[in-house]
Amino acid sequence: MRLIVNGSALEVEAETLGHALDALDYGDAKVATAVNGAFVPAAARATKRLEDGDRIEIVAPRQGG
Amino acid sequence: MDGPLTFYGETIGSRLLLGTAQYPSPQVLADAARASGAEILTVSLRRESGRLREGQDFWGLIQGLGVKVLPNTAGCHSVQEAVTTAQMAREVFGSSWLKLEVIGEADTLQPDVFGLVEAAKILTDDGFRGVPLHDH
Repeated sequence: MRLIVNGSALEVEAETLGHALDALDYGDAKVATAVNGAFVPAAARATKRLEDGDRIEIVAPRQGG
Repeated sequence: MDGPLTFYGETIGSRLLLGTAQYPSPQVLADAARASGAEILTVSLRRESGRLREGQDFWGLIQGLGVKVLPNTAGCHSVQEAVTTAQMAREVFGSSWLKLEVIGEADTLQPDVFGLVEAAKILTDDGFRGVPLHDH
């Protein structure tokens, strides 16, 4: 399906957010996620179903402040 | 000012809070943090690539310093964006402390004070602990 991942349109074969992270090679990286602007906790990724066109944000710690 | 600083019952030995942006290298950041004696470093979230995973090394460096972190919502232009960013930060950093920012004017980064109050209400009701700061 077509997903918008961190602002870029990608074709990703994934039924859930957890599958999408695996397909996109995040592995065990320490990241946080949101779908369509709403936070999705790590524990809910495996059951968070995705739909065509969903906007996914995947973020990690970085310099700032 | 002398004496310890206390945030929400936690005593901080240094009154210096150190930002982590714009250092020329991770090593310089680590050296500066150690030399400063700061016990709180501000940190943020950025989009992470599954291939590059740039944030992972940064997080390892911060953990190695043994300091507390103060996540921010820099770059957020709406209440919803700030709330979602705060929730993501709490999970990643394991801290409910928050340096809350909602930008009202992109060029000057002047805050949206009404948005700040609205976001602060939502987040404090959700258990976040805002740290009142004004920095420039």
